[in-house]
Amino acid sequence: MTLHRLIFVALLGVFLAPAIPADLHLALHGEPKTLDPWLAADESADAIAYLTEGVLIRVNRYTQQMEPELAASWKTSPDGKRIVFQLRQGVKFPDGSPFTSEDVVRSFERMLDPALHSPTADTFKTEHGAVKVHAEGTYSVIADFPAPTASIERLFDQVAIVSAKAAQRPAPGLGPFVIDERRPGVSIRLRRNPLYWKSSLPRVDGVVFDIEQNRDLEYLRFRRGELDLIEKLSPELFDRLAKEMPGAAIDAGPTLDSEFLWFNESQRGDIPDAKREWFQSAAFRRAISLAINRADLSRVVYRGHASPAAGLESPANKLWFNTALKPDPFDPAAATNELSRDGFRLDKGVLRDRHGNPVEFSIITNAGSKTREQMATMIQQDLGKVGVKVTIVTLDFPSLIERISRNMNYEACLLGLTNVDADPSEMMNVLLSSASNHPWNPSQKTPATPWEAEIDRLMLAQAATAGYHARKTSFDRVQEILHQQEPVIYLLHPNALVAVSPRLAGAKPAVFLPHTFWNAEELTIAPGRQGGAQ
Amino acid sequence: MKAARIGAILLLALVAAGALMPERWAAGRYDQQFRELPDAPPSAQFPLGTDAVGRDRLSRLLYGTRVSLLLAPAAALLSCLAAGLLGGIAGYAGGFTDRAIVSAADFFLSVPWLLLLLIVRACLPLDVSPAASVAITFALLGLMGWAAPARIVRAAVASLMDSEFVLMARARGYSSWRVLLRQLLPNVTPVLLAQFWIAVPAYILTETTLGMLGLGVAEPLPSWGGLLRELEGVSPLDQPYLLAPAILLAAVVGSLQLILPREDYPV
Amino acid sequence: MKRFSREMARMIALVLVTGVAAAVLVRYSPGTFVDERELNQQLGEDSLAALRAHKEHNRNLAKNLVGYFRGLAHGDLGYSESNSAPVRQLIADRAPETLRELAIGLIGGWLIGLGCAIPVGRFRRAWAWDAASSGAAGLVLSLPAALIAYFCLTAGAASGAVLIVVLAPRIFRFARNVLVQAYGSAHVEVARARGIREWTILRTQVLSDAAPQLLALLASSASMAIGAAIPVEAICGSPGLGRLAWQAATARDLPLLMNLTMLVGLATTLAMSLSEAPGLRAGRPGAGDTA
Repeated sequence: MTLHRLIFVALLGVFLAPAIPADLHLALHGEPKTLDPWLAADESADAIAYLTEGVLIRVNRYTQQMEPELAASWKTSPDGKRIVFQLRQGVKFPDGSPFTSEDVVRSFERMLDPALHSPTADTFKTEHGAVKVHAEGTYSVIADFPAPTASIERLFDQVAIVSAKAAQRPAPGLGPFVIDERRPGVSIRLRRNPLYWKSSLPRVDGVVFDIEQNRDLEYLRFRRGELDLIEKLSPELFDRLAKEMPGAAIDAGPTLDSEFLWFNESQRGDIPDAKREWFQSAAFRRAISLAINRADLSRVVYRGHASPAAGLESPANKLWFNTALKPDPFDPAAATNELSRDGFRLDKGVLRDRHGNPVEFSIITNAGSKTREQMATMIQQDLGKVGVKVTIVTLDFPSLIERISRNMNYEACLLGLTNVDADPSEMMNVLLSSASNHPWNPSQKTPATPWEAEIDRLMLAQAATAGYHARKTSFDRVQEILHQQEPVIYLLHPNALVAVSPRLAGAKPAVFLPHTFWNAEELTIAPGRQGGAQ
Repeated sequence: MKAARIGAILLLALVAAGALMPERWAAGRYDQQFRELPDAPPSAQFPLGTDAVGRDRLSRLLYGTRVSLLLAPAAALLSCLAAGLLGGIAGYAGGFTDRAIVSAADFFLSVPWLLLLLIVRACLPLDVSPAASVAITFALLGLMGWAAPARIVRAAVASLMDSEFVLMARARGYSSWRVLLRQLLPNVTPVLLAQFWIAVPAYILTETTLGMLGLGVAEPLPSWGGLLRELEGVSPLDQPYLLAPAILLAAVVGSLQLILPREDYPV
Repeated sequence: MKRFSREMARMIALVLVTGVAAAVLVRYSPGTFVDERELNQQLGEDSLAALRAHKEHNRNLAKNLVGYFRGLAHGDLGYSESNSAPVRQLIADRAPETLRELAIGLIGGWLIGLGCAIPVGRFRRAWAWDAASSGAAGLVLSLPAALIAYFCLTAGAASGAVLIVVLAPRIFRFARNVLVQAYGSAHVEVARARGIREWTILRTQVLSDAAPQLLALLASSASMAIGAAIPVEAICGSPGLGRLAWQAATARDLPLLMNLTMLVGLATTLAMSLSEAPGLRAGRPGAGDTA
């Protein structure tokens, strides 16, 4: 009798238990190139690492404040060269082994291994050497930097701490979720980490990422209720969603991202000398900038969800933006004046340089991005008004990268940049004239111009300073030089446009990446999969 | 049937006339941006509304029609000429030549043409105008499309070679040239012509597919494929005027199929 | 038998040549040696250099091809870097989806196509039915597969349904002509005069007369379905081989692309040889009918 009752209760339990796991569904736009958190360098891999890995200090994506994570507390020395972490106790890895200082030390050792080529490690290496991390007892870790380093704590937001004992790579991490199942190119399912140190979190059973390159399809699936979040909506889809499902479309405000245009100033590449001469002229670049109607780009292409850019830093970056700078106004007359001072003249609607060559160039951009194609079309028409003939060429990403980074066979390029971190040191790999990613003239042996030499000096100086005010002064000057010289014509700072399903509770979209699921562990899903609004 | 054909021809003539004189019907040039009116619904000024950057859709549709109607027949002609030549040689010569050409045709049929187009586009010099790049794309399509009609021409020629009148002509000692010009060519021409009419709508459809995959004509030049991209993810019931390029496409391709003699329908 | 083995040898050679051609295309296409992550501004010079060096192994085409064929002999299809998975696993994972779509498309297409064609042949006075089905078929044939995919997608239909819509009118057109001819033959008249049931006539006379042509149509409809699957899957985003091929092309994934090209080549040549086997002759898709 008792046995029967037991079986009955067990069966009842089985039937009453939720049959379908409450998973959070969203899309990634490409297959993560790696699941190793230390090698993550693409958005998809970053997303997986963010949800599966534990870090010592977490930068709250919403408040921008640093929060204790695996480190219960920390202390930075006044000279900015040492940081001491007190680790959280009682934390366990998914395999049940305890988390100790040994895991932190081993994680840094492995990550800094030169053979691994970890992009995360790059931020911990300076010309004076790499950071040295050692344990002091079971729950205390000391990190020593060879030189004063700017905003030292923020760097630890990127470093996944994995188990020192686990032999497998990637080793299980300490994040709210663990990788459950992966279908390459199709989907990745994460399930909740039962041993997650924040008890009772995460609230959802798992996160399912579908690999979906097509953004229109992502939108349709969101509308049908198959997806719960969209990380990045195009302005067009955002407006449509705002009409069809009011409340689901959220404009989280201006991001740190930027859309920009630059000319090829490199000596390499197959460009006629006359054109190279224009591109190297600051007056020419300024005139082009003045001839582009940023307000129209924002209003028409971004439907008002972007703000005209004055430089590489967005006003959203309150700590570092140089408030003295204003976006170039749309002023074709001033553009023509600027050009005529540089020897250009307008001849029957065609702009000619001092040798009589008609001014025409091509702009390359990536195929498949409707917003960028529309921007290019509008720029083409704007420049047409000052007599410049523009050809638009859309290329798939690999071909585009080959042109802008290898053979330098291009004239101008329209592209965007996603800014992950607000700190100026983040810009180092773009602004230093010796950098391979220095867009307009990469990998210079010595700075080609005095102003690039000045930028190099200022950037290196700010990175080696711990005090905010000294760094801000240097970085303000960098922004000012870029504004005067315009080697890159910054156009817009787009807003973070996201979609959040009405059945989700707890979502607080942020302007930093990941916009929507940065607090995935706190999100809850209302029971029952509801369809999109009809 | 005859009435339908005449109707089809009239419709095609009308479309061609419209496409040749877009400025008569439309408010502005295909690339003129009315930036104060982006995404406008249909109005008296813009019968089909405006696109995302405020360009007149009607004007773009008519220009796009011109691109498709000019280039698809050109590509079809190119592929049929190549098909006639190679298929004819294969059927006429037989033996090793025949096998080699048939194998080459099979090879062309299984080559990943999307990849090839992707690569050719990426390799083109950047200062090529949009019109030239679309012409190159069509030329490439034409050159690659010879295989299927060539197999049909080859089969036709091979069966003609076995026919009594060719055998008789040969028995009479006529020269190869005379057989070729007098016996074979007149009999193969209808086959080639039918293939041409099959190929024209096929190329129009191929261009639209390319355009919809983002491999079509470069901005700001319009084409049917590019215009159809506006339909992506949109419910046509909400904005029925977006269907205009699809309707025109169906009308033109449908008319071309009606003009085609019925017994020559492709599968 | 000799003819068969010669045909097989020719087919295998063709497939291999196609694979090599795809490899050559990828090797010499711009962007083969770049990685999209290179644009990540967080990358320092060291990791950037490592990323670039990693792609360089694609440069030696001959060595890669030899390596690939050596692996192939052991059943190893290589490793797809863009998906970080062995090609074999990827194909095994995606093939069921594509096969399912193709099966749905072909079965649905044939049921609708043949279902509409039989009454046209059977009833001489079914001109209204004939006109309506021919008109509908003509309309669908006038639209590219990609556009049909858009429409089906907004209506919430899956890619299998798109293939039905793409294939049915093509099957209808050909089957209609064949069946009208078969129903018009003298022995069908004789059978009817003898009072044999229509169903039996369809089974024993009409379909058996038309069998060779219909079989050829089956083969060519299969090759059409394969051709349509790539754009349809790319647009509908269904996780099959077609989408995989599209991804492979955009990512310049050499081993994956080579295998998929050879697979598609094999399926196409097989279908083509079948449709041209002695006794089976059907019309073939026209020039450039790749849409």
